Amino acid sequence: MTRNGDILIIGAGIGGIQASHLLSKAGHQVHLVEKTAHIGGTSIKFEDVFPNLECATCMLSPLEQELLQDPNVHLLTLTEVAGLEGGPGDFTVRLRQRARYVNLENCIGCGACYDACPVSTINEFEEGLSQRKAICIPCAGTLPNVPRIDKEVCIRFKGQECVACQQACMFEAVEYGQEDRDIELKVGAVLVAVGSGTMDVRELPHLSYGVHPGVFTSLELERLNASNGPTEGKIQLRDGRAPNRVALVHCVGRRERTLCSGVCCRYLLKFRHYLRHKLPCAEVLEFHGDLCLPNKGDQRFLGEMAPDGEGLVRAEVVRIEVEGDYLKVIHRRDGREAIETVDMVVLSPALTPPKGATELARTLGVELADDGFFVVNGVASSRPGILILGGASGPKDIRETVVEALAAAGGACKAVMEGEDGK
Amino acid sequence: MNARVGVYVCECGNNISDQVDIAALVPMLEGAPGVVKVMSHRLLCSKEGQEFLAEEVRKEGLTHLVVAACSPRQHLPTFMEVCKRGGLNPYLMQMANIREQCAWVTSDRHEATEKAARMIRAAIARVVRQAPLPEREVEANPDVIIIGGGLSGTVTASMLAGPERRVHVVDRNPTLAVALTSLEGVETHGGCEVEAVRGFFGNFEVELASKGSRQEVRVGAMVVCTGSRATTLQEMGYPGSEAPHVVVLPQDLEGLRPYLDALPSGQPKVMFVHCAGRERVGYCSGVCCLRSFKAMRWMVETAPNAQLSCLHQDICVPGRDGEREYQGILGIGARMTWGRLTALAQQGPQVTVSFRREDGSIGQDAADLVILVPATVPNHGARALIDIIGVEAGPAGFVEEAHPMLEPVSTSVKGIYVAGSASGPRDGRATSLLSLAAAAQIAAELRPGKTLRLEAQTSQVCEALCTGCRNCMTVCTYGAIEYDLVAQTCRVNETICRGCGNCVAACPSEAISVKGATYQQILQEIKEAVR
Repeated sequence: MTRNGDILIIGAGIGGIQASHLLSKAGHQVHLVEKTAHIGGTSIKFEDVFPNLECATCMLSPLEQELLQDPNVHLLTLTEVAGLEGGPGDFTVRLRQRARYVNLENCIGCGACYDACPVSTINEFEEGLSQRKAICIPCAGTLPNVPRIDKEVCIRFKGQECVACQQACMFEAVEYGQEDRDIELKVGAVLVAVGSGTMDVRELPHLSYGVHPGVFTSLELERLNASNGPTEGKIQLRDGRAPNRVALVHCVGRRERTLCSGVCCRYLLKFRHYLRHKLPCAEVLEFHGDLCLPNKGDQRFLGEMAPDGEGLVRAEVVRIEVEGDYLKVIHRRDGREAIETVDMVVLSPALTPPKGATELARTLGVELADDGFFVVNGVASSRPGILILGGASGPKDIRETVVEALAAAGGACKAVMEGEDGK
Repeated sequence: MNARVGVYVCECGNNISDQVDIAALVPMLEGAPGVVKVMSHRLLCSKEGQEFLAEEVRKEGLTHLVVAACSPRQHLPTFMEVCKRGGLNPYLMQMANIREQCAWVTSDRHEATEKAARMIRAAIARVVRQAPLPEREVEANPDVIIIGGGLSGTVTASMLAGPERRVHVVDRNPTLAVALTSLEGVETHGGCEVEAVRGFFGNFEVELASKGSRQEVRVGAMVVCTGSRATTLQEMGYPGSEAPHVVVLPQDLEGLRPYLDALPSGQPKVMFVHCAGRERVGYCSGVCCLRSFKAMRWMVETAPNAQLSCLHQDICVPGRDGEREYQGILGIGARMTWGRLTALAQQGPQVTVSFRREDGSIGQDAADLVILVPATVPNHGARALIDIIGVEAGPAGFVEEAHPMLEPVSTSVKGIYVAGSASGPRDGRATSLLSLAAAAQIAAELRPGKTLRLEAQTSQVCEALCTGCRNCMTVCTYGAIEYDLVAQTCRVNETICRGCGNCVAACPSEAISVKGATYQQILQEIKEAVR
C-alpha cells in the first residue's frame, strides 16, 4: 500500500496554524479546515498576550499571512468534517464546505460591500458588543481579508431582490450563485486543533451576568480593549460611561467544573495593565483564590501588575447583587462576609470542551472523557493516526498549544510513514 | 549597461485611485533618471495583473522594477515571484507603499498625489543602486547531537534516529540508559562533556572531552536536554533544615520509606511543606503542588496511620488532573495551612516548623516528619554548557526560548534547540511533548538530502574601511562575524548572517552595510523623499 503523506488539520487557530507551518516545511501537503470564515481562532481576539504584553496581532498576522501564501497549505474556510474512514496513511475524509458567496480570488478586501449592505445584526465575534452587516469580515485585520455573506440574515436569501453588495463591488467578486459543496480528500493523518470553549456564565445566576449590564466576561473585556474592537479600544460600560471601580473575579466555574483553567490568573493580571493604561483613575479589585502562575516569567509579571499586592483581595465571591447602577460584590474573606461596591465586574469563566466536541468525536471515531474533553495520551487520540492538540484536550495557554502543535505534527509524520499511532 | 527602470502604479481598485490622482501622478514620474516606462494598472496583484507585469518586464527588457501599490507585508512575495517569472532578479524590485502609507492616511487628494510621487521617486533612487543578489543554498549534515541522556534526550533521540540520520547522545554520566544504547542509529557518548562548538546550523563541529581523550563530532543541529533538578537543603537556606526528621521530597517516592519506618507508632504527624526554596529561586516551579499531592496520596496508602498536614502557598494545579487531585487531598482530610516556611528546628522527637502567614503574622506547628517539596532549578553544569554553546539564558539559568510562545523549542542560536526541563520546570508529560516538538522541528528544518536556503540580504564588510575595532562582533547575536588576525579586519560569515543590521549601526567607520540597504541607497532614497 502506498501511504498518503497529506495531512488534514481541523481548526485554524494558533495550534492549527503552527502545525501547518511545520508540516509544510517538512514537505507535506496540508489541508487546513476551518469552521468559520477566517483563521486565527481565539488568540486574534486579544490585544496583548501575557506575560510579556506582546501585541497579539503583530505576533500572529505575519504567521497568518505566510500561511495564506504557502503553496503547501490548502485552506478550506467555512468547512466542517462530515465523515472519516480508513486508518493511518490511508484515511478518506468527507468535508462539507458552506458557500461564501464571495470569490476569494477576485475580492481584494476593500470593504465597499459592507457599507452598501442594508442589514444589521449582532456581531458574534465581538461577543455581541457591536453590530455587523450580512456581508462582512468579523473585525478589521482578520484573514483572509475577504468577507462572506451570512445567509441566515441576508435579505436576498430571504426572498428580497437586494443586490446592494454586488453593485458596490468593483471586482465582480460577489457571487450569489455559489453553492455549498461536498469535498472528499485522501489523507495520511488527522490533527484536531479545535481549541476550547468557555463556560456560559449564565449557568451561575448568582453572578448577575445578563441581569445587570455592568457584568462582563473576560472575552468581552478583551474586545472592549482591542483597538480593532467595537469601541476601538475604549474600556467602557454598556451605556458608554467609563467605570470607576472594577472587580475582576477569578475562578468562575472552577468548582462546578472541578478544573483550574490555568490561564485566567495571568490574563486577569494582564487586564490590570489594560485598565491602568486606559482608565488610570479607576480602582481595580481582584478577587482571587490560589494564584496559578506556573511559568518562569509569571512571578515577575505578578510583581509588575500588582506591586506589593495592590488591589489583590484573597476572597471567594459568594454572589453579586444589583443595586441601581452599581453592583455589590459579596465575598467571604477569612471566614467573614464583606461587601465591595463597584460599577463593573469582569468574570473569568472556566474553559470548557469545544463546542460540537461530541459530534466531532463521533465523526472521527475518537473518545471523549467524562468531562467532555478529548482523551489523549500525549497528543495521541484513542484512534491511530488521529492526533489531538491544544485546548481540545484540556485548557491550554498559547505556549502549551504551540508545543502540542509541533509534537502532533511530528506524530502525524510518523503515523504517515509507519502507520503507527504517532505516540 | 544603462538602467531601464519600469514603474507600475497599482490603483488597487479604487483604494489608491480614490485618493491619489493617477492621471496626474504618471507624468510626474516620467523622466526620472533611468525610467523608461510608467504605467498604471487597476489591480496588479490579480492573476491578470501579475501576468501583465511579468510580460512587461520581459517585453521592455527592464533592469529594475518599481511597484507602487500596497504594503510589502502583503504582496512582496507576490511581486518577487512575478520578477522571477519575468526573468528579473527579484531583489531588483522595490515596492512603494502608496496605499497604507499614503492613500489611506492622507486626506487631501492633491497632497496624497504629491506624496505618492515622492515615495515612488525615492523607491526609484534606491532600486537603481541595487545589485542583483543570488539565492544561496548550503549543503547540510542531517545528523544531530543531543546533550543530556535523560527522559527528554531519550524521547528526542528515538524520534530522530533512523537510516538517514545519525543521532549522538552525550552525557556526563558514564552509563546511559539501555533505552538509548539499544536504539538503532544512536551513538552514545557517556562520561563526555561538550568542550567547544564551531560552525552553524547545518554544519556544526562539536568537540567532546572525556577523561584524557578528545573527540570531534560533526552534526547539523544540537538539542539541549540537560534537564533540571531539585534545590538542595543548603540552597534553600532555612535555619534548622539539617534536622534529622526533615527530608526533601525525592523523585522516587520509595526514597521516603526509611523515614516512614522510623516514624513513632500511633498517629505520627507528617507535614508536607510546599514552595521550599521558592523565595530564593524567585519563581513558582508550577509542577510541585501536583507532585506533592500525589506523594500525599501514596502516603495515605503506605502509612495509613499518619496524620497528614500541608503547609502551602498558592496551590498551582493547572489543567484537568490537578484540580481533581487537589479536591482528593482535601477529601482525605489533610490539614491545609497557608504559610511561607521561615525556619525548622528539631525539638526532641519532633520538628517545629515556623512560618509566616499572608497577613505577616507568625505561626508554628510541629510534626514527626517534615517533607520539603523543593523548587526546581537548572541541572548542574547547564550554565557552563550554555556559555560554551552561546545560547541565551534567563535570570534563573534556564535556556531561553527563541520566542516564549511561538518558538518554544528553538533558542537564540539557529540550529540549537532545547527540549524538556532545560528551558524551565516541567512535569513528565510536558517534557515528552517538548521533546517530540523539538524532534519534529528538527525533522522539518533539517531534512536529509535537502540543502538549506540562506539569507540573500546579508551584511558585508568593506575591508578598506574596517579598523578592526570589533564593535560589530559584540552586537551580532548570531555570531556571524569573525576577526581576521592577519588582515586585522572583521569578516561576515554569510552562511550565518541573517541581515538584521545590528552591526551596521555599531560600526563607527561605516565599513559595514546590508546588501539591499546600503548607505548610498538609503541616502538617495531619503533625498528623493524630502526633495
